[in-house]
Amino acid sequence: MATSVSSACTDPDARLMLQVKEGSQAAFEVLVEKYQGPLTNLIYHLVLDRAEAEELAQEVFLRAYRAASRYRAEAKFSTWLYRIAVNLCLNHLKGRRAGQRLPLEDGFAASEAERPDLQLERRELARLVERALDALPERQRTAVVLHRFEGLSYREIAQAMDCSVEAVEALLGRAKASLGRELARYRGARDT
Amino acid sequence: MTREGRSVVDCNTVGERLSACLDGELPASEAEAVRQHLAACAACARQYRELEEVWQAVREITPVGPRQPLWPALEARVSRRPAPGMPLRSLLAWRPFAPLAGVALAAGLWIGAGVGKLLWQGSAAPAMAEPGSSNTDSAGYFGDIPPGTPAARILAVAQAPGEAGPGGRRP
Repeated sequence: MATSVSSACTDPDARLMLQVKEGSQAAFEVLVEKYQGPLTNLIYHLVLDRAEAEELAQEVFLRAYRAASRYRAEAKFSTWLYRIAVNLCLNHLKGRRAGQRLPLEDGFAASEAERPDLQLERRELARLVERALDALPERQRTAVVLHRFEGLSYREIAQAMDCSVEAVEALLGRAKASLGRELARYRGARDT
Repeated sequence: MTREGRSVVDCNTVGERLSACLDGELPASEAEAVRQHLAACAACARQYRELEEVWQAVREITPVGPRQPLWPALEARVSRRPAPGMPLRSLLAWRPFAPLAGVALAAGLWIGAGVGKLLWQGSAAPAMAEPGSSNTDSAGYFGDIPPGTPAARILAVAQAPGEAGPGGRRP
């Protein structure tokens, strides 16, 4: 159990979760308050619906609480929590029929073609990239959000997504390439 | 080829590794090889800058948080059930159980004492079951249990004042 001890010593959230395992609701409240933002954000970018994201975030926390007795602090608490979230969301998305997936509000290139002289501001670019991000396949999107928003390493993402580090590298590489193409299309439309 | 052992020499190989290099996920030697290639190859260097820009733009996306704190609704849900690993003492003191804990413990001891008596009658004292015995007389249902037997010890615990359990306090 060397890894368990090590994680519990270095990760304060893992120590809190061990307190939850002993029956402390106060410790769980601290964890909920700390992770409700990142978790909702992750889920939002997976399911693309805010109300649904909030409901699923609650469900993730509830599952984490119910699983407290099995928690062993072998990895960072955040990785463990995100793994629950990713599994829940991917199963949730499987349950959706293809036609139920929320469409993008408008086409990236088409909307920009209407405003070719618009100056590219960072904020606007971020908004456009967000649309492109939301159009990525689910697993690419998951990897991007875990890496860019939550700051997880490739190894931690692999743990959260139950895949290899090489698979994470491939997912992120493909995601960047797709986002890069959207960016290039945007610039092409803007510069014409 | 392993991640550590791959030789980075041509544009195709560099192109495959640019993303991991940007994320700081390459081993030092490989990252250095990529940097050297980028210094000498304008096309790959441009591709790297584009990736950087994309990644920076993703970081600029405003995170979406919950509109209301999640804890109040969650608290109601987790309070309806104990954590699965909760020890017995905490479980008895757990809020929905607390008022009943003492009563349940006393009832359990009382039932246990009754079962103990029946077992004792059936095996250790057959004479007690004969007609005219004092099993049900005014001395009380348990009044004729010989001292020192297991049933007598259980009964003593059940009848002792102030032994009814944790009393429903939360820890």
